[in-house]
Amino acid sequence: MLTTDLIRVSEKGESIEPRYIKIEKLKSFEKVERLIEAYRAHVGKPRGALEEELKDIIGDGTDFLMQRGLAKLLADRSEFVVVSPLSPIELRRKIFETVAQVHPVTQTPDLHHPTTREGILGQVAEELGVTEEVIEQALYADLQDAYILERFEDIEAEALLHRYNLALAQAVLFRASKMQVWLRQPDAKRLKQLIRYLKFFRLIATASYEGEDVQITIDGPSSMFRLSQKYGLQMANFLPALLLCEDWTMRADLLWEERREPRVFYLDSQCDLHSHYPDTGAYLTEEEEHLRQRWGQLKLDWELVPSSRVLRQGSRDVCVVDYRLVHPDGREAWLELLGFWHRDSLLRRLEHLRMYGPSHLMVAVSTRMRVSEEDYADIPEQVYLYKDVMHPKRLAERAEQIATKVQD
Amino acid sequence: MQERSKQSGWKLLFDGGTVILEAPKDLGGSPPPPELRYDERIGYYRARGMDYRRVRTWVHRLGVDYTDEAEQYNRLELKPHYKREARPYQAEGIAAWKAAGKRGLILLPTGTGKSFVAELAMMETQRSTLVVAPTIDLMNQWYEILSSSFQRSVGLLGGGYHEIEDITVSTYDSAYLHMERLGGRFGLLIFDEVHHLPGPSYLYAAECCIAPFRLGLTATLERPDGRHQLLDEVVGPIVYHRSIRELAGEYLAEYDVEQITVELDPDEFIEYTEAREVYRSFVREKGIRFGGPQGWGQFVLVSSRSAVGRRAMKAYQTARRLALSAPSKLRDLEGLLRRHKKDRVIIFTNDNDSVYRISRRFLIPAITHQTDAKERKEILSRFNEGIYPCLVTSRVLNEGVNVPDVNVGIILSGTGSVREHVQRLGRILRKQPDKRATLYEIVTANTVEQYVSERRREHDAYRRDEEQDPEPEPDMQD
Repeated sequence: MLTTDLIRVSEKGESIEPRYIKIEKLKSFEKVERLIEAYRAHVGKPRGALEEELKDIIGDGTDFLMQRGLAKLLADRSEFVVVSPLSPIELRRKIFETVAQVHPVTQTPDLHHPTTREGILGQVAEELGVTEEVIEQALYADLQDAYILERFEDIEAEALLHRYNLALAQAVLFRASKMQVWLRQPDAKRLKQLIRYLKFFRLIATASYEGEDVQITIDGPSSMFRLSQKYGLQMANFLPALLLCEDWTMRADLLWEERREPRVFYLDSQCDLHSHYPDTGAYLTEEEEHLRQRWGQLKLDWELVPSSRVLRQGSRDVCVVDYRLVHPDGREAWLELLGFWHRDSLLRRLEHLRMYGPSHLMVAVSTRMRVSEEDYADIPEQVYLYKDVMHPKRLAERAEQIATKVQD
Repeated sequence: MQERSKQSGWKLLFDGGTVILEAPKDLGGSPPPPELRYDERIGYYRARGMDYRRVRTWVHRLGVDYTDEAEQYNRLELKPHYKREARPYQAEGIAAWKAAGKRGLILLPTGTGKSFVAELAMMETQRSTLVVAPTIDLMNQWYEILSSSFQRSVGLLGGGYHEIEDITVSTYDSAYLHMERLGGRFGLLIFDEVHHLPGPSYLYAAECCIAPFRLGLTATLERPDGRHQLLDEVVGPIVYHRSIRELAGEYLAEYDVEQITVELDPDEFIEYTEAREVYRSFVREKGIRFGGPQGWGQFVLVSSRSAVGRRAMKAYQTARRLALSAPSKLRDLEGLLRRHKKDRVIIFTNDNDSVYRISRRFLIPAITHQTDAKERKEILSRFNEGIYPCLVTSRVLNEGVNVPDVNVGIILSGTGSVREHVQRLGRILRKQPDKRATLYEIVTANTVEQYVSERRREHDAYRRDEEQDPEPEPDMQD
């Protein structure tokens, strides 16, 4: 994560543009590699020494802000720990107790003050059966500069540069008060993934539609009372999830710098930012693949239309419709496929379906999910329980029961 | 979007620092209070966390069937472990706060027992309480005080800890970070040094909490930006105020001040003069004026932009280090420690490096912002019991840290900030029977530091507390 002091942007009118590193134009990755090499070389060594070396590498050049940014990202991949043969806290307690009797220890002993610092350290060293050097070293081995770099999650220079560019865009988003995303004909799976991330980062998303294009407005619970950057960090964390989508544009409204002046930040799917989040993306399960195939082979009154409609479920939850079952007479029934869910989550989903509907939405649940008929006895027509494969005919029968004319 | 109204009653929920009211859009025909707004995004009503009390009262008076899942705090049965009589001004303060609906600010000088006022408020309220303090050290101090006063486990939020209990103490930073999730769990909020609260982001923490009861404590409320007026809405009005003059003598100890001037060794002096010239000429060239309110910030910014500037910053730090903790000064410190070896001595110095240099040199306990909360607690209690005769600490103890039995203070380095000085004095001047405290200030001769110190002494902060700070000599940030 890049802190505010490491940010590099240019302002073009009201628009903020991160000054990305043009990776393909770099003549060499030498300096970046030196930074990474410094971390590799200091595994097992104190943090203070690493910081000194980094200072030397970064130097006084004009690119020092970028270098410090890269070093910060490397520090984020590192783990520093206290390494000491003696517990520093216990050692200090022992020394301070010993000294308390003869305080103050002196460098120039005389009759009244015979006790020297070295005398005390020697005495404690002897009691503990270690050398004085060990004592000197362990005394404050738990100060930050004395921490030992225990682990460094290695990374290649080019990958680090990509991480840097992403981090720069994220650092701009720290100042965001609101985000809008337009997705052209998003795939339901990707959209579901997106919604999951939004939920995970505790953001509020409202979706509106033009045909199958979706516009999502993103902010947080208190945004309606006051514009704030409070959700900026969450939006920044969300960005890599957006990068997994295919055809999109994004606009973030920023409150810029101390004066919180309005600025905007645009990004779209043409950008060269790389996500490091796992993409469970457009992958179709075997069950779903089978459903689509069978549906195509059968001559049913109901058409199976992929959907990516987002429905609000009460005040704090949303769900995504996977398919619309559309009848020529205009009636529709909606279908949500539940993947593998924890039983608790499944019961909560059924509870929401019961409370918030809508009544023409059904969920498809595999028998492998340990669900019993009592769990949905009051809404039997909205839960389709299947073993192994989903049968188009059964779904069409359900559609007949629950469908309604849907108005947007 | 269609919704089925299978829900029976209304429901109050805590959601990310706000309160949601799940109720039909027409609210059964009753006009809502202005704090409660319809949230188009979710199709229900929403209010800020801090407006919970108003909303809940309104719903309750309507007589509708409702459930309240927003309130997640508990009723407590706090009893003080030690019997302590409240001083008159403490009792008056709490009475005024109670009369104001258990909301508002109590203003008392440093060293007059603000933490006991907080304990009284907690006993009046008997609800889960969050105490918010500006620094990790103050947070740790509250942790010590409250856990010993109530003899129960106290939670810590900040400084690497994330333990939530019915009594929890936190820093402003951590409160800001976590209140969106924890804001439903406290019924009483106490802000220590509440003049820190009106920063835009810290205020947000206060808004995100549903606590109906709120107390702000400080010695000085004035902020140059005038934002202290915002406290009225989020904490409450000033309900009680006593100044240092009204309480001096009766409750504060008397003290002497003695200045000791140290000559730098010749080589130290040369290095100092050279380093000082490097940064002085940079500052002159860039036209930076340290007299202005933005002087220091400007120096930091401008110096970071060029190689020359970064050298100037380095030179500044060198000069400062020499002036503040040159080896020659440590010799004089040893002299003072010898003279006061029977006394309880606390040494203040401005930067952490000096603290650890002194701790290593004299093998005495140190406290800085890096000190672990539990070790800090042990050091302070052993210091208070007299097991450790001496303690060295950096400026992080500046505001209101509690070490009651100290009778000698040594400022080894300091800035010209009067406010800081007053706070430091306040700490060693707790009222003890027949106690006369001594404050030493070790200053380096012929350095800027001496000038700052003289200016400080000219200032009547030794007598008064209402002064605005003069502009400090540019100060090393920790």
